[in-house]
Amino acid sequence: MIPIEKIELFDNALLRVLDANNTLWGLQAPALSMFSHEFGFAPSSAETIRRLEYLTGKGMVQEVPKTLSKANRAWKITDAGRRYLDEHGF
Amino acid sequence: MNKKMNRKPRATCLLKSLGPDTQEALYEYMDGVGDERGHTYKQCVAWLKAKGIETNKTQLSNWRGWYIMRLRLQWCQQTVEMMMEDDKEQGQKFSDEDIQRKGNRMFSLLAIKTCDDKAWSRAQSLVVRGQRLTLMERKMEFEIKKYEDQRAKIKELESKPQMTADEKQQRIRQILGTE
Repeated sequence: MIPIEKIELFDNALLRVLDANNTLWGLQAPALSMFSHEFGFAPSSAETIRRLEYLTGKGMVQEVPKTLSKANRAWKITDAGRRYLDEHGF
Repeated sequence: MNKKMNRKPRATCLLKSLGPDTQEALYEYMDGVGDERGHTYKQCVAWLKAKGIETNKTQLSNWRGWYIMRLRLQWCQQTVEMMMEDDKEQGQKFSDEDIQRKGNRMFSLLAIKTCDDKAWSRAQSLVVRGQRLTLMERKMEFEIKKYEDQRAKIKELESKPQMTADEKQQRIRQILGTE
């Protein structure tokens, strides 16, 4: 469980991981959770998905389209997300 | 968040926006290639300064983390593409939907495999341990077989009445390899 005061840092960590991914493929929640360990977080997949949905609402990440089921959801960063990272020195 | 949207980009993203060749050269200079030793952040800052790029240790550290993550993910992508190619060669037909689904899933699984260093090294050491056990097992089987062969030969020898005790002893030593 990520404490509320660290949620913003966690969002930044997710964006930083997604920013490093310039491949064709999106990253799924388990992989994103694993990568966020490098930033000091140990979230569950559900927590990660919750924050990704929030960031999607903010236009900073997008869910990779054409996924068949909810079990195969994957995300990529948007230009707005990259701009946010650049402006915040990440 | 919106209030800060027009802030000037900082130096970290300047490092990210360097050309791919410069970034590769920086990474190689930082970590070293082959026998060549890497360089400290301080040396890297000076190296970049000589190229007209102003930065500092913190920004270099952030950039390094980002670049390594990017390299890992690129490796994952290449592996996924190779796996897809193999499947296609075996006659499997994929729709765009299938490619997306399969690609994303494999990519994420590979990313997990390669990025959890501890789990990766644990898995590797288990494989090595398994191989070592198999080797020991084979060695034991070989020793048991050798012992059984020797026993059979000695038994056969002991049942030969025409040999003297000395001859038998010498032959036994030959069988056991002590002579």
